[in-house]
Amino acid sequence: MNREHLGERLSALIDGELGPAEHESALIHLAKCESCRFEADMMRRLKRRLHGLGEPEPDLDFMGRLVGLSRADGPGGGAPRGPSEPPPGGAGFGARPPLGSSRPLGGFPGEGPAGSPVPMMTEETVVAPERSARRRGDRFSHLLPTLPGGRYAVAGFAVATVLLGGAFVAGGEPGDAPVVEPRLSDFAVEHAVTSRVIPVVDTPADPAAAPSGSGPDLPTR
Amino acid sequence: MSESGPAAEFEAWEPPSWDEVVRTHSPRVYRLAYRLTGNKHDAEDLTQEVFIRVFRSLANYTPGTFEGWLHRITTNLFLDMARRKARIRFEGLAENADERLEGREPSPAQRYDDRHFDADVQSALDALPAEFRAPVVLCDIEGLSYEEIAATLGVKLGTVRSRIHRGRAQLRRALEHRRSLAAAENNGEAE
Repeated sequence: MNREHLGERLSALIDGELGPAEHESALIHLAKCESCRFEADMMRRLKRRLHGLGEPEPDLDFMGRLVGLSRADGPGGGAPRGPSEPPPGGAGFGARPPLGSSRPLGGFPGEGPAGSPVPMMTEETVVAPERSARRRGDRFSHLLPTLPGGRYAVAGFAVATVLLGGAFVAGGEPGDAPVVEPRLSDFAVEHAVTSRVIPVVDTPADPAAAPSGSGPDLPTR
Repeated sequence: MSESGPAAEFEAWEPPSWDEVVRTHSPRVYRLAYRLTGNKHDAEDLTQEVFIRVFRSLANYTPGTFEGWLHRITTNLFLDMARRKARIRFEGLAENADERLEGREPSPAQRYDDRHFDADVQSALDALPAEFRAPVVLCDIEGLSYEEIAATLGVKLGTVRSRIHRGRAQLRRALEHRRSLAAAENNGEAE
């Protein structure tokens, strides 16, 4: 034991993360090992230096932009929602693709003309190409009047194209979706386990499934 | 049953306004974002991404758990951003990359501020791989326990210990290297 240096245990010792037995044996080793004592001293200095780094403050201008997110991202803009109100779009966190998932970080969310929110990717949005494809089919159907069942062939071709296209869109680029785990509700449970504190509130697992009548007059937490 | 005591306090609890949420949490998120990204520009982008998610999760706001959750999504988004950047480096930039990236570069003044803010340590931190930087920042700057870091990063406790140790070792080497370079420069000037 004494011949082996502390290695990773040295970091854990500095951070107070060793169990009682390991802590004791690490101290015994330190008393005899000059090299590990030196390492420990250097590591403490580094930790102090990191801890003593200045605390950068966000600009007021930037804070203003953050406050403005409630107008840019909120449903119809205006005042921010209260915690007991349902989230925008009637769905919970993670229920729709996160903004910026197809853009680099920094793209301003929901920034439409005059601060109007960008429409969400909803079922309707996905279905829209099918409708337009059918309209295109109707428009050009007069070109194939003599072919028996030509209209059906065009319609079938359009549907197949849309389905294939839809599959492509649905497949997307899975690797590009930013990590947004965990959902806050999941985290609350995990936090309770980690901190060993039983939460007072029984947060519903699915925010979308939360009773819509739980307004300010019926506090749930 | 009377309406006094904790139950009454519970009833009286008012949800925070969005302004309050921003004022309360944004400095802490920004500070973590700054230490993870190493510059003001990316720190603002990262903080903004975090608060977009905060806004969508206001319905689940619970004092006490929110802070830890913010740590986690900030770190996760940073790691995701770091992976994307690495991928861009590998894949190379498209022909119109200059146009797309234009305007995202920090101004000379911002660069100056960024570089002269605890420059040595921040530079050494920036040189660390993201997987090592995150646990070191969470431990030494944010003061999280190994258990909290493991939960934040979704890795095992042993992995946290190993990454912190290796991260610090690399930091030390980087700082010593910078110090020796500075000493060599000083000696050169003296001669």
